[in-house]
Amino acid sequence: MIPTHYFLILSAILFTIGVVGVLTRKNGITIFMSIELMVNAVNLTFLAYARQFHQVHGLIFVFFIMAIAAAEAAVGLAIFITLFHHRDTIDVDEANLMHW
Amino acid sequence: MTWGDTIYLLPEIVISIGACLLLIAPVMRRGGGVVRASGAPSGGGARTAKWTMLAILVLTAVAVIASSGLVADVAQTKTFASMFALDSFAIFFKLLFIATMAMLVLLSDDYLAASRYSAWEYYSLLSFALCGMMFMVSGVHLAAIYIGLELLSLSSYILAGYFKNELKSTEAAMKYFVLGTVSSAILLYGISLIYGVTGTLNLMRIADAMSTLVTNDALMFGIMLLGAGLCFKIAAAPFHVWTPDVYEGAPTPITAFLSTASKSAAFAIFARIFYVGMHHFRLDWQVVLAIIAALSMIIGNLAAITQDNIKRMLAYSSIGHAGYVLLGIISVSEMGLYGVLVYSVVYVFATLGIWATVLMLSKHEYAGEQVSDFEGLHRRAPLWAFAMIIFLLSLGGIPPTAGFIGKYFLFYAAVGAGFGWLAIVAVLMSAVSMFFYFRIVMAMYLRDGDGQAEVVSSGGLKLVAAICLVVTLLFGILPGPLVEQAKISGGWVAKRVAANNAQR
Amino acid sequence: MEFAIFFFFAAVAVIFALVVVLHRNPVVGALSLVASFFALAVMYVLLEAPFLAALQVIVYAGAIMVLFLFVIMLLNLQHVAEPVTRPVQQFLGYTSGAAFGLGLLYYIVKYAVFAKLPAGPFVTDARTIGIKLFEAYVFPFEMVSILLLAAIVGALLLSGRQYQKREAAP
Repeated sequence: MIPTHYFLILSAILFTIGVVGVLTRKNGITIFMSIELMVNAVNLTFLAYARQFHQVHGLIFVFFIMAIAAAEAAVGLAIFITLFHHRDTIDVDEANLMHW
Repeated sequence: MTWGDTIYLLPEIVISIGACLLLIAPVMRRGGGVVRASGAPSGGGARTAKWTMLAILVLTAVAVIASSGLVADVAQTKTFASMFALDSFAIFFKLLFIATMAMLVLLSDDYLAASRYSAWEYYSLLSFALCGMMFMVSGVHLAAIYIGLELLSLSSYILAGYFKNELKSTEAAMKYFVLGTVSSAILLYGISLIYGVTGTLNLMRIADAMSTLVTNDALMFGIMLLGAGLCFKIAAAPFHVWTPDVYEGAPTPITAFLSTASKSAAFAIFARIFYVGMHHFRLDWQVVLAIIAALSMIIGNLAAITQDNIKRMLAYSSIGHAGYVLLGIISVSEMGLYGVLVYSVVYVFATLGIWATVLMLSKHEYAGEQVSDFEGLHRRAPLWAFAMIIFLLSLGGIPPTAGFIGKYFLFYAAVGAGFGWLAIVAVLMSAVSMFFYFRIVMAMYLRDGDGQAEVVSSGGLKLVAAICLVVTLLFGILPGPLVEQAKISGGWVAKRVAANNAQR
Repeated sequence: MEFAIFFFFAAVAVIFALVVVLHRNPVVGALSLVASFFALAVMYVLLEAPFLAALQVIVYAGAIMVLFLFVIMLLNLQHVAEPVTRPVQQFLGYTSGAAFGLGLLYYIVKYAVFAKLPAGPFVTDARTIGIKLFEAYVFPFEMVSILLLAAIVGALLLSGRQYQKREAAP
C-alpha cells in the first residue's frame, strides 16, 4: 500500500503547476486547462484522504466536483466562443477595453 | 433521510420549478410551435415575464414564511443527514434575497425592454441564482455550500455576459469566469485540506474536531485557502481585481445584482463558515482577515476617488464595504454577527436605491454611467436628487440614516474584540468615502450640466427608490425592529460562539 | 510493484501537466492534459476507487477534454502559437507559484503524514457510492441537477447564433 502523503505531495505539485499556468499564460483556453489541472489535484487530495479515513464522503465530493467541472467547462467555453466572435482572439491581454 | 425532510426544501422547490416554468413559458405561448432562437428579438413578452417572475418570487416568499415554522437550532439539525439547516439565520437571509430579487426585477424591466434580449431566460437565470443563494445560506455541509456557491457563480457568469452583442459585457463575463473558477479551485483545495485534518465536511463536526486540536499548520493553510476563495466572492482587497471591470462591463441591473444579492449571500456564508465551523482557530485567522479588511477599506475607498465612471466608483466603494463587513466576521462575537446581519440589509437597500437612480438616468444601454451625467439633477428631478443624497449618506454611515446603525455595530464589535486599530482605519476610511460620495452630490446640486442624460423614470424604478428610501430612513431613525430581528435571527449561530467564548 | 506503478504514472502526470503549462500550442496542451488525466485515473485505481477512475476517464478525459479540443478546432486556434508573455509577469508568476508550492509541500510533509492506513478493505464500488448518494447526499445531488440545467441554459444562450453580429459597438 502506498502511503497517503505520497499522493498528497503529487497533488500539491500538480496544483502548483496549475497555479503557475494561470499566472503566466495569456491564452484563455490554456488558462482554463490549468484551472482544470488544479481541480484534478483537489480530487486527488480528496480521494487520498477518503482512503485514509475509509470514508465514502470524500469520494462523493469528488463525484460532485466532476459534475460541476463539466458544467463550468460548458459555460466557460461558450463565453470564449462569444468573445471570439467579437475579437477573433482569446488572448486575455487583448481584452483590455476597460482599463485596469 | 425520510421524505418528510422535503418539506424543509419547499422555498427552493418553488423557485426551481419557477425557473423551469420561465424557460418553458415562451415556448408554450407560441402554441408549441417553432422554438425561438435564443437571443432573437423579444418584442412583447418582457412584461409578461416580469409579472411571472414577480409571482414566483411572492410564492417563494410565502413558502419561506410557511417553512419558518420548522426552524430549529443549527446544532440540532438532522435534515438531509445534517446538511441542510433551516435556522432563523437562513430565513433572515432568504427573505432578504427574495426582496432584493423582486426589486432587481423592477429595475431590469425597462432596461430589458429597451434591449432586444429575451427577458424569459434572463429571469430564469436570476431564479437559478436565487436558488443557489438559498441553498448556500441553508447549507451546513461544505459540499452543499460549495454547490450552492457554484450555482450562484455560474448563473452570474452567464448574466454578466448576457448582452452578448456588447463586447464589454462579454469581456466582463470572461474576466469574471476565469478569476471566479480560479478562486473556486483555491477554495476547493482549502476544503480538501480541512477535510484531511478533521475527517469531515459537516461544519458542526469540523468545529468539534477542531476543538480537540491544539494547532496544526496544514489546517491553517486550508483555512487560509478557503478564506481566500471566499474573499474573492465578497471582493475583498487582494482578490478584488475583477470587481471594477466586471461591474463596469456587465449590464447595469446585473451589476446591481452582483453588488447586492450576490454579495450579501457571500457575507452570509462567510459568517456561517467562520462562526460555526472555524471559531476555535480564530486567534490564527483573525489577524490575517484583519489585514485583508484594512486593505479592502483603504484600497477600495482611495481608488474610488479617482473614478469618473459611476459603476467603477461603486465597484471600488463595494470593495470598501466588504472590508467593513469583515470587521463583524473578525470580531467573532454576538455583536459582530448582528452587525453583519444589520449591515447586509442596510447596504443592500442603500445600494439598490443608487442603482435605481443610475438606471433612471440611462437613456441608452451604457449611458448614465459618468459622474457628469448627474450634473444638474436637482433641477430635472429634485426628488431623485434628494433620494440619492440619503442613499449616499447611508453608505457613508452618517447618523440619520440606517448606514450609521450598521457601522456602529461593526465598529463596536471590532473594538470589543481588541481590534481598535482596525476600527480607527474604518472610521478614517468612512470619512474618505464621504469625499467621493459628495462628488456626486456636488455634481447634482452645484453644476448645471448640459441636460444630455434624459430622465426616464418609470413606475418600477420609482417604487424601488421609494422602498429603499423608506427603509433607509426608517431604520436610521427607528433601528429597534431591525436590531431586534437581527438578534433573533442571529441567535442560534451567536449562541455557539458565546458558549465557546465562555469556555475560554 | 505498486510503487513502481505509482512513480511511473506520477511522473507521467507531472510531465504532461508541465507540457500543458509550458507549450505554446493549445492543441498540444489539450492532448497532454488528456494524458495527465489518464495517469491520474491510474492513481485513483491505486487509491481503491475504481468507480471514480472510470468516471475520470469518461467525464474528464472523455467529455470535458473533447469539448476543449472541439472549441479549439471550431475557433481554428490550432495554428495560433501564443506570443511570449511579458518577462516581468512571467517571472513573478513562476516565483510566486514556486513559493506557494514549496509552502504547501512543507506543511504537507510536516503535518499530513499519517502513520499507517486503516486495516481492512475500503469498499468503493458503484453500489456503495450509489446508496450513499441517494440517501445521505440526495440534497446536494438534486442541487447539482439544478446546476447542470442552469449551465445548459447558459451555454445555449451564450454560444447560440447571434442575430446581429457586432452591432452597436460602444
